[in-house]
Parts: sequence; C-alpha cells; structure tokens
Amino acid sequence: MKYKPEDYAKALLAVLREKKIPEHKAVERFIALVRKNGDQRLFPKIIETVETLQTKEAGGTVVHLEFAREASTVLHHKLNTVFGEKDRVKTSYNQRLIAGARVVIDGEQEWDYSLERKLRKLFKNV
Amino acid sequence: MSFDIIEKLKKEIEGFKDNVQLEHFGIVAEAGDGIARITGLRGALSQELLIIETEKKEVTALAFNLEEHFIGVVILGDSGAVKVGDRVHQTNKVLSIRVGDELIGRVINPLGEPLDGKGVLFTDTSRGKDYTLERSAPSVLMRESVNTPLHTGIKAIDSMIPIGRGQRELIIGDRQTGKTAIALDTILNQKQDRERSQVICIYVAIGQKNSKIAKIIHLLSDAGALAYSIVVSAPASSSAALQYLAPFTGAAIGEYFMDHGKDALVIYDDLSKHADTYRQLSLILKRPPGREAYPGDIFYLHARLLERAAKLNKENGGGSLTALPLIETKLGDVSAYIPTNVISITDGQIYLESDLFYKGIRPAVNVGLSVSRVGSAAQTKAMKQVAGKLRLELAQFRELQAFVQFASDLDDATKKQIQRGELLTESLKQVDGEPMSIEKQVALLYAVTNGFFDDLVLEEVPQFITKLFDFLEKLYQESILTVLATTGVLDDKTKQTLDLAIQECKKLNT
Repeated sequence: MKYKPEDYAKALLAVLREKKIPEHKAVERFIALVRKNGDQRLFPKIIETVETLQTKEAGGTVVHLEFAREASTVLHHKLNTVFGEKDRVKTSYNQRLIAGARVVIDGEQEWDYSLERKLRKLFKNV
Repeated sequence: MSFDIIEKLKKEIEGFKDNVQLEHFGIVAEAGDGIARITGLRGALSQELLIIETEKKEVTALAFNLEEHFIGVVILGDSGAVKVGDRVHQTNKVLSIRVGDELIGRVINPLGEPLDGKGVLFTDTSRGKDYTLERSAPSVLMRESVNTPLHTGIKAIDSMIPIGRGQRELIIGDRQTGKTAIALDTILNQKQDRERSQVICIYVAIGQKNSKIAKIIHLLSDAGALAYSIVVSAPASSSAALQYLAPFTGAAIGEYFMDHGKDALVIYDDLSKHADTYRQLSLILKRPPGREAYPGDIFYLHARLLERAAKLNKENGGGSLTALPLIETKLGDVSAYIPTNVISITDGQIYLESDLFYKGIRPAVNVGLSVSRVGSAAQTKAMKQVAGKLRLELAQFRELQAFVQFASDLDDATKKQIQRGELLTESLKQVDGEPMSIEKQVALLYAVTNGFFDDLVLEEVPQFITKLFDFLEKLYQESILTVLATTGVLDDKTKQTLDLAIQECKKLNT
C-alpha cells in the first residue's frame, strides 16, 4: 500500500504524543519502517510535514520567506519580530523572483512582492 | 511597426496597477499525458480555469477532478511546458468563449482561437458576448413544440424522416456510409431554403483527420456555405482536452444565435470519438472505469450536451438550436453502449447501412429502422400530401423483395407493387453534395407516387428526373415550383398543372 508523507507524519506525531515508547526509539523504528516500505525519498517531505503539523498544533503559522537575493541581517531581524514565537519561519533564496520577496503562509497562500510577478502581469496584456 | 510596439509598451507601463493581495496558490505535484495533479487550492471550483506559471509562459488548465488532497486538471495549452513544482493560481472564472456574429465564416478551435488565418477575432471587445461552455439547458417553460422544418435537401430524409428546427436527430452508421455527407448536404441546403429564416450552421469536427476537415472547409467555401457557417476544429492531432471541449464550444456558439431569436444547426462529427476522448481523460485522471472502461457519467456527458438543443417559445425569442450528432457503429451494432445511450437521448435516428451503400442505394438510409419522433409536425403540407404513402409502399416493397427470391409466378398486382417499389427506391437515390430544394422533391415524389413513372424503365429514371426538373424550371417555374416553395401547399390547381407538366415532359422525352 502506498502511504503519503502526511500519513507518515501523522502516524509519527501520534506515537510521540502517546509516549508509550521513548522518543529516540520511536524515531528509530519510524525510520526503519519508512525504509522497509521503500519510501526513503519521502523523508524530506515527511520532515517538513511533521514540522508543519507540530506548528499548527501549537497554534502557530508556517511562514516561508523567499528572497531574490540574500537579505540583510537588519531585514531578517525586523521580519522575525513580525511573527510570533509559535510561528515557524523559514527563509530561502530564489533567483527566479529577480527582485523583491514572496511570503508564503501555511503553504497555501502567498503575498508576492517579487519583480517577476510584476513583469509577468505587465506583459500578459501586451 | 516598432513605434507601435513601443507605444503599446509605454501605455501598458504607464497604466500598470499592482495590487498585491493574499492569494491562494497550488503546486503541480504530477504532470504528464495532458493532465496534471495539483496540491493546494482547496477553494478551487469544478470547471474553474486555473493558470499554471511555467518557466516560459502561463498555461491554462481546467479543474476537472476535485479530490481530497489533489485537484486533477486538464491542461488546455502546451502541456509539455508544465513541470512538477510549477505554481498554480485561480482565476475565479469558468471556461467560456467569446461568441458573436463575427464568428460566421470562420474556422476556430474549441477555445475560440482562429485557425483560418483571416485575422484576430473580436478586436473590438465591446462586440460579442462571453458564453460559458457548460450551460444549463433551457427549461420546459422556455420551450415550445418543434413546428418548423429543417430541410436537409435529401429526398429520403425530408419525406420520411423529417427533421424540425429544435430537434435532435442522430445520424448513425458504420464508417464510410455517408454520415458526414448527409450532415454537409444539410448545411449546403440551407442556402436554398429561402422561404424560411436563414439557419446558422456550426460544424464541430472532433478527432477527425486534418485532411478531412480541410476538404470540408473547401467544400463549404466553394459552395458559398461559409457565409452562414462556422467550423469548430479539434482534429485528431489536438489534445484530448480540446477534443473533449469541442462539442461544448459548438453548443455555446449555437446558443448565442438561438438566444438572439435565430435558428442554428450544430453538427457533432462525431460523438463516438468524443466519448473515447472523455474515457481517455477520465482514465488518466484515475476516475473509476465502468462498462467498456467508460466513466460512469458518460451518459450525462452527452445528455447535457444534447439537451441544449431546443425550440424556444416566442417569449424567449423564438430561436432554435437543432443538433445532428453523428455516431459511428462497428459492424452495424446499434445495441452497443454509446450508440444506445445517444439513441435514447435524441428525438430520432437516421440509420445508414453498409449493405445498402454497397448495393448502390445512396444515401444508404434504412428507412425501416430510421425514425423521426417529431414527424410530420416538421413537414410542409405539400410534403405531407406526397410522402404519406411513401413509407408504406417502401415497407410493402421490402417484404415482397424477400418473397420474390423464392417465387417465380407472380400476380399482376404484386408485380406492380414491386415495380413501384423499385421506382421509388431509384427516385430516392441522390448524389452527395447536391441537395434538392423542397419544391422539387414534392414535384418528384408526386410524380412517382401517382404512377407517372410506372411506364419508365428503371435505368431511365435518373435521366428522366434531370429532364423533368429542367423542364419544370424552364416552363413551369412560377406556376409550380415557386408556388410550392412559397405556399408549401399542393392545392388542386397546382396538382392539375403538375399533372400536365409531367405528361408534357414525358411526351417530349419518350
């Protein structure tokens, strides 16, 4: 049977919540299970989903900040103060944005302040 | 020209307004075979247009499957450009095309884009209207009974299987039996049916060969039929998505004219290929397969399409949309899945048989199995008068035909009946691409059913028919043909004149 990364993530979190076995044992067995199912390639997605679910359970928001190029430390600090302690903030760099930034909320919604979006919108009608 | 481009760019830059809003987005998780599966976009609507931002351009897609964790979309543009990880945005619009009088004479694809190289459509955006491809059929209260004939110009059909404006009449038969020929003759005949309002014809080519579509366009163009026709082309080389959408495009265009009080005719050539395309899309999108691997809603696919054909009442403009769907059978099996589905939806069928075709009876219409559920309500009085006995005489002839093979001595009455049947069959033969006006059909059938051809040798019949029409056109145009065309009635005076004319013609030519 094929399991989705969400299924693995939810199962792992449920085991960790119940605390019937020590945490390190639970993780060891989980890794062995995923390898046994031949789903090793899903590990990055599973980890991301676990972090997302934990953040949401705690009442926070997963925020992904994409910049066109490396942002200054001042900007980083400013952005971190905008979000709460429970929020999980990730930063990455995407040259396709050309300039500006994109803010993704919970992987479902975005504010796109990039130059790439503006140019695409501008030339759409041309 | 570069100055124009620069000016246009300047205008766009000066008028550019950027409102950044919080937007939902999705990510392409799988892509291939003309479809994609998208994660996110939980608020997407069924049949909503989505925009996939690929590296090179934006590609439009149609939300087809709304599943728990994915949206299955059908890609309407260049599916090769879409790759995993591309972002997808909603448009909050369902798929629609711009329709209007400007479409007449044009060849377009199912998305409304011109294919004939005659220029951009709807440069003036105030002209035309947006019509959604999926639309509810007119309700019962908006309709009235079919009461105006749609003449095909084919004797066998106009006399015994009459079609009315607003009817759905299926044309069904094996490959190469003349289904498309009947449909095209119907389009060509609309040029000479001047006593009624002009019918706007829409020919929808689904999964046809490009060469065949090109031939059809040339035929319509040479005959001057493009002046009132539109061709929607989704050839076999186009994507499954476009082949799936083509009939809906044709229906939307027809509905525009119907809503404006005009009569429209839409020909779906053919719905068998449409069903196959829908099956392909559904299987790729992992919808559960049913009988013959078709999805469970294959009946609904054609039912909702064909229900859009209607005759509207005067309060709603009095327009009509007639549908002529074509279905290809395999080895004459009309009891197969798709043919039976469409037969049960339509208001009758014209059944073409390969056996008749190879015997030389063309159009190869099996009059016994063909039916029009609208019937004589869609016939002129004159045609009703002459065609009343036709079906019965042909049915009697068919029974006797089988009998004749085993009996050698026949009485005179039986011989006469066989001879009359043979003459009728010969008279109903017609070359494709030459539709006959209704007044000539009435004159001919009157002559045959009243015994004027009884003394002719079978081989002489086609020649005599040509001479008879020539004679009537030269000497009796006003007194017979024009009267029949304008009044639609074969009164006693016209009958007497016609009797004289036929006898005169026979004297001159025998």
